[in-house]
Amino acid sequence: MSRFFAFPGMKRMETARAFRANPDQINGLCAFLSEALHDCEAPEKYFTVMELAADEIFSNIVKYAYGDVPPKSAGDAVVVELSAGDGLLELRFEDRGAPFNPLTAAPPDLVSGVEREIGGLGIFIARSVMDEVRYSREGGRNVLTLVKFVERA
Amino acid sequence: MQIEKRRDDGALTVVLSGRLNTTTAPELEADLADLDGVRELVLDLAALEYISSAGLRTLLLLHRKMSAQGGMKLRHVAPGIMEVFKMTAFTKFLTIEE
Repeated sequence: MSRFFAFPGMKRMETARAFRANPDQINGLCAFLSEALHDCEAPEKYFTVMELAADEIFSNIVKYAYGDVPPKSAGDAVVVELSAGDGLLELRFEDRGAPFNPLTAAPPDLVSGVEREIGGLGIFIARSVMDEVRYSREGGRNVLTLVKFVERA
Repeated sequence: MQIEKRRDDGALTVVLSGRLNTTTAPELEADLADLDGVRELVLDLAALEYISSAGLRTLLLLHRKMSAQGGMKLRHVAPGIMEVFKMTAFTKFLTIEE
């Protein structure tokens, strides 16, 4: 039956979860995203880039907004929300850490060979695989929004 | 991530399976901390499903280490992983074989 119809497109959906601002939460974040992407029936080809973008952004947030020492209090969480629909996937990261815009970080060195300094790659990768990346500071919170436009598979 | 190693004289082949990310990159670095006597390090990435910047960092460190004592090459790189290498210009200095 399905070969006679256009690929149905994604289900409209919103789901969010809070993660402690600690690098050990990365695997849980990727698992949450993977499940959410399955639930909204996003095309398979977007799964890896969404996970990668989330991984890199989350890693950056926990590294800088909260300093290098992982926070201990339960209030130090990063809320990650995935919205699907209208031909796009939107990932939103919200945290109450120090004002921090990952997008203003120094760009990586892509020109040097093996002797390059290694910094800046994570954010660069996130920006490269997503279509839109926006930051705002709202009511004491950092809000980072990533958008991926989704074609019918 | 699973790490399988095969030593053949001065050549060390490391087969990676799974994900090379923030959690597993330190494991790989620790596992390959001792490269004494290794002249050629071959990373077989056929079963590597995912790499993030943490993994790239580890590859760069390994590459630098091996440049001083021989060389390093990557084999069987999946298209998704290759995309990440290209976008970060790691293809400029990594030796990548079929």
